[in-house]
Amino acid sequence: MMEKGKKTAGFWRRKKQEHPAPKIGAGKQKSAIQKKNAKSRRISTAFLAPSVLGVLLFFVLPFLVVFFYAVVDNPISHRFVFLDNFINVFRNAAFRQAAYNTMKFSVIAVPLAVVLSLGLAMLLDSKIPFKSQFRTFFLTPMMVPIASIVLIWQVLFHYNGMINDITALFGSAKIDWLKSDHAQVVIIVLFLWKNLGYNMILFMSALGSIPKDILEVAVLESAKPWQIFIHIKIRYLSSTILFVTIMSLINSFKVFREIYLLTDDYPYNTVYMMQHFMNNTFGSLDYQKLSSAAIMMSIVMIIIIGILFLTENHFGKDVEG
Amino acid sequence: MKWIHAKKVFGCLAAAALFAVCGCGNGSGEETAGSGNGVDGDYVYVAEYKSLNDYCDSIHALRFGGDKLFFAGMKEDKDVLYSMIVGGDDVKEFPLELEKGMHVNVLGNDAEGNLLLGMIQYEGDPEAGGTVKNVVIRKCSPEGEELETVETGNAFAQMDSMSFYLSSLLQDKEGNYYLGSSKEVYVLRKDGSLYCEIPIGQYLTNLFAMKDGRVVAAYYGNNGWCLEEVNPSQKSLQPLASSIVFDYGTYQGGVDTDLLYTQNAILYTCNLGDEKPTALLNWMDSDIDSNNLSDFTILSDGRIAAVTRDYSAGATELGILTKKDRSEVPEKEILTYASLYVPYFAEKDIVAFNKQSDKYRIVVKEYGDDSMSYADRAALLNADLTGANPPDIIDLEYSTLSLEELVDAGVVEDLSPYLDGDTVIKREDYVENALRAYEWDGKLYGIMSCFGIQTVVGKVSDVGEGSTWTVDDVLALADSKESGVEIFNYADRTNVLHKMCALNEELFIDRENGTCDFSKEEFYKILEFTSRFPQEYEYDPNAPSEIEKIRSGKLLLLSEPITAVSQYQMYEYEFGEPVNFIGYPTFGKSGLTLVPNSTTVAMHASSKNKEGVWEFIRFNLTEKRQENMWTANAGFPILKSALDKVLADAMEDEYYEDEDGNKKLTSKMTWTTGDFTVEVYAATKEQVDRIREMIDTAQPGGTMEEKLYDIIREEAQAYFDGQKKAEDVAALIQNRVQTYLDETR
Repeated sequence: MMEKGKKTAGFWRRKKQEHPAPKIGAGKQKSAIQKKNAKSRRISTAFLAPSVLGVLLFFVLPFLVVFFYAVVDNPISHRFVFLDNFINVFRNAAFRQAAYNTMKFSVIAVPLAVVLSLGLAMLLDSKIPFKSQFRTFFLTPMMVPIASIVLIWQVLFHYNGMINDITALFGSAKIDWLKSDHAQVVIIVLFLWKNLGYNMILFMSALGSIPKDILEVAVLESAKPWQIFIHIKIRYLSSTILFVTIMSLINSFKVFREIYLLTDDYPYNTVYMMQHFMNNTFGSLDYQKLSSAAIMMSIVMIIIIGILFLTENHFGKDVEG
Repeated sequence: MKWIHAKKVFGCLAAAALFAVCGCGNGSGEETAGSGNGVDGDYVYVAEYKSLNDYCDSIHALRFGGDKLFFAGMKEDKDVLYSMIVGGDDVKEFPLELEKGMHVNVLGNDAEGNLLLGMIQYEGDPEAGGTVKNVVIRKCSPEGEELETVETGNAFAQMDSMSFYLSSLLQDKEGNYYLGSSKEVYVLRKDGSLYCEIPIGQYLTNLFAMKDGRVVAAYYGNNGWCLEEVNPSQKSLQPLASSIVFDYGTYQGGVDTDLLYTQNAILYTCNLGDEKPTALLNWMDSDIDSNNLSDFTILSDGRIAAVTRDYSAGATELGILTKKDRSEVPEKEILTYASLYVPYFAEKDIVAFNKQSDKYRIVVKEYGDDSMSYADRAALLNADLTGANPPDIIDLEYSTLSLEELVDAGVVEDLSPYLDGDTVIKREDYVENALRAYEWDGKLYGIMSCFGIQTVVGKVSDVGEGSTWTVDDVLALADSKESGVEIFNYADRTNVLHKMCALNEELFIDRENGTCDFSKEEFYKILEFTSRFPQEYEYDPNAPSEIEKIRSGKLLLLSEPITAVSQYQMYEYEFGEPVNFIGYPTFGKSGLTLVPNSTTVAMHASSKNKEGVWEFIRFNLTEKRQENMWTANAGFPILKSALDKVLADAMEDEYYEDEDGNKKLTSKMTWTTGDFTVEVYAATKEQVDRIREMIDTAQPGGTMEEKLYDIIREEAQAYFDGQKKAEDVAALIQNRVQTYLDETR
């Protein structure tokens, strides 16, 4: 049947080539097509315009403003100073502290968020009891408002909080969790607690879309579970891993919100993040520092995301879909 | 083609970027001239002024009645009543034949529009220990014809002249007279006998009748502003029912409405059933200082009349305000004054400046309103400071940013070239300490026109005669007294810690190098000292008064701003023996701080009218202004010659002539604290010299950036709660403050 169908199609194509369409009225037809195309373009443009304008107004334009402030001496006199602001910010001890803390946090928290959520997704993908209940359990933090999360964490990790009460039962001295070198650990735990559920759902969805026949063939070919994981699942999950990594990276920058609510403008120095620096400089009208720091951070983000895309391309290039 | 499109897109973006960088519009604040506060911005009430001082030597009372203004005063030592048709030149004079020692104290109206004169006869010096001999009410027709005189008999006889005076007088439809005194409302029957006395418990501001005849008492109570109907039959006051929120202001009955009142410099009219009041005008737009309003009314032709009394200048003026289209009013160059709140002294200075300037007009831009949080209001102001249409004048007293932040952001202009280049005023003529208060990196960004000295005062027998003391000295003094003795008045840990940290900041923070060190013994001492105070000061209405506490030894020291030499005598009276303004405990340096007590402004670096801004700053620094403003602003003038005059005047005795024409020593002023009144006489040379010494040694500032102090306060709490050692708290403060310092470099 297939062969026949192909032949029929081939014959029809040949017939078309042997008997080209008559040229009478071709000009009119072409004009009509052009008009239709132009109309179509206008409609497309009309539909696209709000989005394009939105992007220009709310993304491109603010970026240009930020760039402008980064190369002038202050928001009043607007004297061009080229890279002076960048140099000043780079030399600023608070900026360096913030950059170091943010990088350290992301380097630790993002891989943990990806690996742990993938592990959880694999676990829930296997045949274990109470899968539905576990799934709900891990998604619960997403439903809790941020103010409540902060309240819970304060109850737990305050100097007079529950964790210290429990450790005191074992004779341990009190630890000021949020105002000591332990502070970043607390924030990482908070970050994972809040983000694992969402990442896990993404991975579960991706795991569910891996073709079953390929997995069955691998089993029939006596592939071991780790081989199936490395050579099949990871490859099919590569785009999801990239997405989860980017989302986690972005969320790791947004953890400032929780830290701010827990510890205010000027926290213990180990949890002083880039956004603290930017937020505080904005409050004191120091737009030069704010803008220079924002641009430097954007450049780092672009580089990191570029590397992630290259990695994804490398691992997922031979996978369909 | 594509390049042309790209150029167009880029052009649009560039334009938009420029628009965004420069800011877009300034709808963030409320300007007094314009649509702010509900006042119709298309119109303005233009005032014509008429001085009332020309008619008599002194004015004791005044009152509008219909389209007439009545005022009573002294002319060539005789009591005279005047009547004028508002807007007319015809002023009628009615000599009052009064008994010896009797003077008109207050004017009022009855329900038919007749004029009431409330007169008091004193025995002795009414300003020092005199008593009331008699109170008489005289009713006159609007034409000045005497209708009846009511004697009150013994109702008020022998009352202390300092606690009994008449602030309001009116008569209801039933013929009862209502007299408002300091903290009481008295109701008299038609024949002058006492019907009832209704104590208020607070100082009465005003008594007035609404259009339906109900009599209302206005005063500031314990829980805010009160408008309460006087009910003589029940001897009580009952709150007026209205959905409108009334606040501190000047209230009276309306002409066609229930109320006509001034609140936050706006004149409103309303009926009690209205959802919101109607804003008629902003007094500042008409160059009238609402703090000086004595009486105001709406005339039958729609014009508004107001009388202002400036006690510091001794001027009484009638202003007649005519509604005009804004386009009809001659234009002046506008200077915008930005602030979150407008202090009363700023309103006074702005009105005075606007009134005398033919070229400039200051328009106040108040950011946000009471419904907004401080942070939201601050954000509005900050956005404007860096926007395309920035204000010309920045109020430094209510600035949301520190001077350092304003300087770093390039917002404020260096005033040194203006001061040094001025042909009228000279830098060396002004008190150096006060000028240094707003200096940064050798540049001058703001100038206060009046100042006070924040200090601690105590008995010489307790604090000694030195000019400084340490925390250990204070603790030793407190320990030498019985337990439970308060060290400072109204003190709690928050304000004591702030003061101590601010005064001693340079011991712990090195701004130049951006470092800090809180692991010093001095800081531990401050923590220990602060822990002696209660966490929060709780006001106890049943507690003994401040003076009782001091005299019984329950309170050792007072933390007060000194704004006049006469305070010496007040504190000596309070403490019952010689006092010393020793200042806050420090670690070697002076514990006195020099604080602004007047309009203190900076010039915006982008102001398009810098000459105009300097004109305003200079206006408040000129000799004439400096010599007259200190009384109103209750502070020391910054001009040395004016300060010398103030200090010299403080040593001059004052006299009055008694009934027999004998010259007798009288008090210069009266200080009232709680229920105690102190008569102030000429200061001694020693007292004046000590004030001079205080001014010379006081340090400007004495405040700490809010963010810095918040860190210290938050961490110190664990020490106060006994949960952490001082060393641990200091380490945490060190960590967080260092981040702050690093960030600001």
